[in-house]
Amino acid sequence: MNKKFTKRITGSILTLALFGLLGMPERLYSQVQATQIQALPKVIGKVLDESKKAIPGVKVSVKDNPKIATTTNNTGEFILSPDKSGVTLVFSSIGFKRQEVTLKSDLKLPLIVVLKESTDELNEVVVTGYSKRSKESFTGSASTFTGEDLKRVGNKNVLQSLQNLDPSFVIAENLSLGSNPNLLPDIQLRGQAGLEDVRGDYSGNPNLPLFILDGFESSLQKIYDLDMNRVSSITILRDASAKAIYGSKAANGVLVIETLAPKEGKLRITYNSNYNLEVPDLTSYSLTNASEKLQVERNAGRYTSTSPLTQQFLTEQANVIESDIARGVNTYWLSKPLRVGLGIKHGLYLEGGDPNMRYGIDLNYNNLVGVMKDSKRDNIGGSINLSYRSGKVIFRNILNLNFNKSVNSPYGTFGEYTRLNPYWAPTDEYGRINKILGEFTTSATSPTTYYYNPLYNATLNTKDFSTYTEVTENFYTEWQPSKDLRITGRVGFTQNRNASELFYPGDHTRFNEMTGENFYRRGTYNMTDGKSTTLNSDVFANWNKMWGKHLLLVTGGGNLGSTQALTHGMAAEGFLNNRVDFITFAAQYALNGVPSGSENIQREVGILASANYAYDNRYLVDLSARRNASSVFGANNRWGTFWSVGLGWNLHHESFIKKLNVFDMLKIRGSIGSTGSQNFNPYQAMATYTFFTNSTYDNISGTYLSALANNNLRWQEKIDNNIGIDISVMKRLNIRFDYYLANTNNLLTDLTLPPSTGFTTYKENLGSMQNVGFEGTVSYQLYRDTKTQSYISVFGSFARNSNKITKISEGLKQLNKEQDQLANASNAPVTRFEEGQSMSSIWAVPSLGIDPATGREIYVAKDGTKTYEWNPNDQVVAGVTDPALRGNFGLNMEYRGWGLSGTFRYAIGEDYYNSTLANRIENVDIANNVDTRVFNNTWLNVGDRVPFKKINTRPSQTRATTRFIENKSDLTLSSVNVYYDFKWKNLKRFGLQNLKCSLLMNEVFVLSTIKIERGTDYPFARTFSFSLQTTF
Amino acid sequence: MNTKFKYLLLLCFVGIILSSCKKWLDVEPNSQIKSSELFKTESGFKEALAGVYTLMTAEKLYGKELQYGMIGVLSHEWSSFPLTYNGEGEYDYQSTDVQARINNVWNGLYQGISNVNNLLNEIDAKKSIFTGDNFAIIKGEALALRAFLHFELVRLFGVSYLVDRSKPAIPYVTAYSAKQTAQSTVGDTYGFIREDLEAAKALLKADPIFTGRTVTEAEDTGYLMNRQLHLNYYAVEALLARLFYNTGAYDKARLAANAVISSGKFSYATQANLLAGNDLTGAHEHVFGLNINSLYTYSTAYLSKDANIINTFFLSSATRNAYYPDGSIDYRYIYLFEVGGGDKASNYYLRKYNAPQAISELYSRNKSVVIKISEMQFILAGCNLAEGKGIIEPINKVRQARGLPALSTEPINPTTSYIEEFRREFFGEGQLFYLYKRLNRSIINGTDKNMVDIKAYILPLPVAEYEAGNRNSNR
Repeated sequence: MNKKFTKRITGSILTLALFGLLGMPERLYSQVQATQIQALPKVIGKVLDESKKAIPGVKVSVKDNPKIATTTNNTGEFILSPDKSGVTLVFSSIGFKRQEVTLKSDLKLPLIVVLKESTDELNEVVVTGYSKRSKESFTGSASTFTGEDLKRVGNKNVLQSLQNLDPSFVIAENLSLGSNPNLLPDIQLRGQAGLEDVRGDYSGNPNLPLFILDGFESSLQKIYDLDMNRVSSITILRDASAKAIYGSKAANGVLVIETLAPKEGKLRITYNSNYNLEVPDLTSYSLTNASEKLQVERNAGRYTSTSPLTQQFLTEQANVIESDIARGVNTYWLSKPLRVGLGIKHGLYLEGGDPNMRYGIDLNYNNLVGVMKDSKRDNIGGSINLSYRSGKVIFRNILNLNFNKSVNSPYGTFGEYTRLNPYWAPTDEYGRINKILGEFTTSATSPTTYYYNPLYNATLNTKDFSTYTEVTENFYTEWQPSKDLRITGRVGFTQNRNASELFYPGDHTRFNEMTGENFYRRGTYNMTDGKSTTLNSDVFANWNKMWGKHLLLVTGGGNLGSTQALTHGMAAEGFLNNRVDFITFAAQYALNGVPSGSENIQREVGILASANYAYDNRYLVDLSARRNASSVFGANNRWGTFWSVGLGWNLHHESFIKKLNVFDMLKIRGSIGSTGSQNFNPYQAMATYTFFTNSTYDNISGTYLSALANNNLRWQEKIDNNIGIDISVMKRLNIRFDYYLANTNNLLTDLTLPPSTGFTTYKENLGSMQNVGFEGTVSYQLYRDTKTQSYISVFGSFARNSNKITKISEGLKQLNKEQDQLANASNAPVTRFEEGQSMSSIWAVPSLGIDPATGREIYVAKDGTKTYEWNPNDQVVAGVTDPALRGNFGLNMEYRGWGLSGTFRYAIGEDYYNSTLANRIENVDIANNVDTRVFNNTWLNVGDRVPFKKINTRPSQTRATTRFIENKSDLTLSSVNVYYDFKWKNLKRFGLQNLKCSLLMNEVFVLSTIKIERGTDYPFARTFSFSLQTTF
Repeated sequence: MNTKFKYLLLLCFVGIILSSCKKWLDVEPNSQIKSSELFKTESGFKEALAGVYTLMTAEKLYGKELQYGMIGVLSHEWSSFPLTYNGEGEYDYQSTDVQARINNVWNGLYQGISNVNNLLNEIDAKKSIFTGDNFAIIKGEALALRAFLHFELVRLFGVSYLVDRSKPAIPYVTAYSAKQTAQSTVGDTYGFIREDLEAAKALLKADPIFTGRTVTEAEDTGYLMNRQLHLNYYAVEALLARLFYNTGAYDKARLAANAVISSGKFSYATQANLLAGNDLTGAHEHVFGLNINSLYTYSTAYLSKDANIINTFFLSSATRNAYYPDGSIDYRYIYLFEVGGGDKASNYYLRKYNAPQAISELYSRNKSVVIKISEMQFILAGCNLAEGKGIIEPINKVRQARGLPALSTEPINPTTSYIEEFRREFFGEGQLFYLYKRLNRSIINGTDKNMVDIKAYILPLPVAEYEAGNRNSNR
């Protein structure tokens, strides 16, 4: 072990020890606070919960003089000496509802106070995964949402609901894959912290936040498939003070998800069911009909030739189409592969037990159905949650099992159907599906092009699915040797086994080009299987102490984790018989194919310490430090140190604010700290050798260095600065506002080397990036009547993030050159990296539009001259795709059990490269169906002042141009929920404890300032669902 | 227990955990092998060494470009070559195609060097794991490889030693590191090459080809059986001969060349074998040859007489006749060329890299020449030529081996004769360009360019090397 490192460790241990010593001298603070007024009697009492069990650690204070306060001991008892008679005592404890008791003269002692558990008031608590902190004393920027909040705004998955709740949590809209149920969302929290993964340097999405499920790191897939009814709360940790305890992995933010813990009592059964209708949303498409399409083809000159013979030939082909149209052929292809999907979801939850032994059993089935025919995602899961208390020790165990099967549609991609011409008929006169839809021959001597029917493929035995089985076993032990100290040990094990198969029989239209000696190779079968195992464990201690006005919480601990994953696969070909669909019927392995596979092993170890101090609940200090080592980094720089400092000031406890009698909460807070990210390739820092697989030398299988090792490769580090304010006025108005500035340093990039080193690039920590932004939420309760449990509240949220690359390496400059070459062959802008510019910049060449004289596009070169030539060096930043403002707004109301909530999502002022204009209008292949805008807006004759170039028979190319950059603002009605809660009815006579029915609509409509085809490979969908929830 | 002691105990405990952590964090990949893991065994060193040779067999290096592709076009030995080589034909070193090939050669040779350096880095500490003479032989080969690869680089990218040895040339890299090595002058580079070669030669005294020890398949699975496929003792001697000849140290060159010749380990291809098409590459002549698995794939793609394969290298009938005036009796004329089919009927295609006719012929299979015995005779002749002495004696040795009569009188124009004899012998082996460079010929056959004036003999350093390495001009 190196010396420097030992020193640092010693340092952190001493720090820990110091915190320990601070707490040592006092032993008696749980006793009564000294008070001068001896004339008044002491109040003796006991605090119990609803099950008549003592609650230790409850804060008891005098309402008008919070200086007089105490906490209950292990048996829930307390003694307090109020300064005068008739005062009101306040009882508060985390997890319970605050209660006030006025001391009347006839009061009988001991005073027995029963506190109610507060499940609904989770927002008073911040769940960090290592401890539950009262929101009042927390200096970080965090938001907590309960399971009910999530269910109110959606029922698909927790991620989709979060998007409707928190403005900083953004799911990138996938215009290509739309509502595909098998698409895992691309998530960003407060913008992009890592470089876009153009070269595949990352092992996953570089901006993916860290998910902590019941204390353990969890995969995106697991969260996506998590049954929402199991969720008790989700906490989003945004700034350094909140997330630094997760140090090394927290740069992209942390989502802490807690599942329901079983409640004691008699057996309670909760049943949930949902019926979801998925309805395709094709409003963004505007395609030509049969006769319009023929006209477009004529305009483009598809049936015109200078040679009379060819002209005759072409005219005949046009006539065939025309007669078909006259016959009434006008196929609306878009609807062919689509359906209205009906999905069902059931959830059953059993819970109960006594104070010492509690159990919860959960079973769920979710049949997620997509709008493309036969595409679906089935999930069957169950878990057993047991907790056992024996004196000062609590054992808890959660065993979870999940089976998943996701199936892609045999109909292929939706894009194929958007290209089919409406003058083709899908079936013949007997209703049989045509394999060939149409053909075209440019001249009598040219070969014929055939157009095939993708519907035909759906009649074959294709297979395209993947499955996984996941077992998660989490075990927790909690030992509370004294009321101030709690020691927790956790072990989590997850194993995921997955498999996927993709089979196209020989008759599939994709093989039509394989003829002659390759004919026997028609039909392919790909199989892969994989396994990943994760083992995590940690031990930590929470120690808290209150004395006088001081409150101190200290957490310290360490963790170990390891992940191992591997996949293997094979490909076979030659399936000429459509009836067999098993891989053993293959003629051979794929030509020149070898088995495929991948593997990775990652290990990490960490220690952490954090301390939170509050003085009089007015001045707050949060400190945390974490040291982490990971096998991903260079041998000399395995360890990274992450830290945070947060300060807060509860102004509402200051007398000058109190006097105003307006604020229930007025807190200003700020924090600074560093976190790391580590979704990197596991072996990037090592000197490893790869074996030549296809050649030997003198009968020896040679091996060569895969890369130049960088033993100094270290953690990418993000420094977050955050200031925020929390305001609550008259219990009606709640405001949160945060401003942040985050710098990512030591970005892992490729450094260009002189090739005389033997390698051209090298992984280095070079480059920095900055994200600046703000976000806020406002909610206001317009009306409240506790008697009828009725309320109306409105809410709104807003966020803005802008990103800037502050430093890049030579390697990235080289990458820009590669990207420029790509841009030269592409119809869309490419990602480029330049200092001072945003990662979300759109690079394009300035355009003056279409020259009316020639029909060619006029560009502006760097030197200001006009040119017809597109040159990558003339590219400028033509826009930034980050919106000026984004967020949600909406309304929640309830009246005597009837409830309504509606949420809108908006994004304003986003620059957008409209690829529909490029791909579906201007560069369209005239052989395919086109957007109706082709009709009017394309250049035909000299003098035409139009936005688009001339359409020719051959598809043209339009490289990145400012002409297609549009300003986009969107408004989406993301959810509408109407429900009735039978709590006002007497349900007991039916043996029910509660019953709730709701109707929910998701993604009802999207209003946008630009017209773009949404869902090009898989359409978007609107969701309508009915759900029922009951407990008995 | 006092508190201090408790903390000390805790510290020790943490210390133990963390030091074992270090090992725990050192993960072992399954799909690749870590350098430290590979070099734990002797076979790891063998594999790493074989890896360097395998890297050299790539198409961009000795599979094609440094054998008959780029290097052949640069010497204008082909009468026709694919269009993409027009840049080399015109000595337009800025053209994209040429730059790409130059980059590949530079990057490829240096990739080999860095692999050798990592091996050399590890070998001394692991001396004890080697059996027999393997330590000396593997280390000697590795040093020789480093010298050989740099020698090739300086022959391509450096000014000719005899023209200006103080000119900056290439970096002589001896470490596996991201740290760049300073550029050396031509003279210094030759100095470093010689040091490595001498060191290699000393170690390779243990080489069975030198000691005469018989190695059988049974011993170490025949590792030391095919010494001609490795930089063996005599290959190092031959490289020294090349080096001394290039630097004008003719007596030393003669000494080295004679040492190789007099070893008697290398014999010329027999007419019977050439006739049968079983030893077109002359496997027994190789002082050092490469074992190229894809040799015949490359030759089919680039040298094939097949009418369907376009973009090949070939000789016109007239050029072939001009190169081999005594064609009818010259084995090389008769056996090493074949006429094309269809509309290629007037073209002649090189057979040197074709597969042996007999399936059973294993010895010459997949072998490609890098250094052969006849080069030693030409070095002797070259030394004589440089010193104004007669050249026919050594040259006759080669002529006779190729079925030609010995010359009885010294040619009137010895340099021209020397070049012609040289071209006949080394056709398609990438040596002619280096000969022209050594002789600093301004006018060569096949181009009207003045080679010296346009600095055709010095390939420019790759742009990436200039930019990332901040290099001085080598031209």
